[in-house]
Amino acid sequence: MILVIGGHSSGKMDFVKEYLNYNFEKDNVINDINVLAEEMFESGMDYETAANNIYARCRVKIVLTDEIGNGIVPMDASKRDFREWMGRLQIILAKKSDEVYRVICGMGQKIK
Amino acid sequence: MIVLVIGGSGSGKSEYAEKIICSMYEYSKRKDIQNSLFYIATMKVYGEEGQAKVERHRNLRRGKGFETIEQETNVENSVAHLHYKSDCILVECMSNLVANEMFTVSDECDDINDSSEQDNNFRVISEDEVVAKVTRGMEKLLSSVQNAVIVTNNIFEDTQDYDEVTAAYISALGRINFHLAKISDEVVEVVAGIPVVIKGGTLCQ
Repeated sequence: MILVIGGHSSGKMDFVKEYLNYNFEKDNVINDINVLAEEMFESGMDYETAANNIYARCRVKIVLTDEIGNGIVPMDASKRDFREWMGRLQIILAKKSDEVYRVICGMGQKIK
Repeated sequence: MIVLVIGGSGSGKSEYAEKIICSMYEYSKRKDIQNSLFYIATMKVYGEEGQAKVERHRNLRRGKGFETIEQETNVENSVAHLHYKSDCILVECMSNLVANEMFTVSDECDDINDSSEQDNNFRVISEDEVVAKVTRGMEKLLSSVQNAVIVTNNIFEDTQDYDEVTAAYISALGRINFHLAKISDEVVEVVAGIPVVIKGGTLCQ
């Protein structure tokens, strides 16, 4: 798995198209796992199980994920929990990935 | 050596910061340097969620030889608890310290849900005062030890749509981070548990 992480609208998709082996026909890119992850969070799943679940589905793919923990901690307890939960899920996915890219301004930095 | 570690919520910054300070401490032990390892905790503990956070961090630190100093404000006062000039400290974290300095509830009341009481006694210190106080305090603390790892929080990458008070807090922490980064030997951002070197890079591989 190749994990591409960056803020919302940071240019992850453009980076993947331009620099990684993106193949639309083979559909090898999973754009934004955050929506799927949020559903898992809401169903009460722990982040280890969710990470294993996502990894099982996406192990041969390029996976894009929004970095959401870099802002003011929300007042809403559930949103607060989800940010922490998502961060820990991303740590596990990064550990399992062969390569990790961090995207800022459409520029990807290979961090693993 | 001073290392500044920055990351967002759930980024793995604490675990990484601990790893770095512990390796500095072990290195000095091997050199037979007499010193101690301190954890300077700045978080005010509110309710169950805060307690759970403290427990999680305590478990991470367990068995690593840390002595804990609780210092929610006036970070320079923790110097009195240190043992040697060669001590190693981990300060966690700046976002809590800055919030504690900026927002004070004059009547110490543990019940965060009691909003009426909170509003009556809520006091906000100005951004400039907080920046001056915290940077002065941190400089004093950092000049008293051999090795320090400071944890700070990346709260800067969402909307700017905040009220004046929150905006002042964001700005204060930003200015303090900027100052700390300047005087640090290394600055490392943690992304999904992976350290990304921003400044330096000799130690934090």
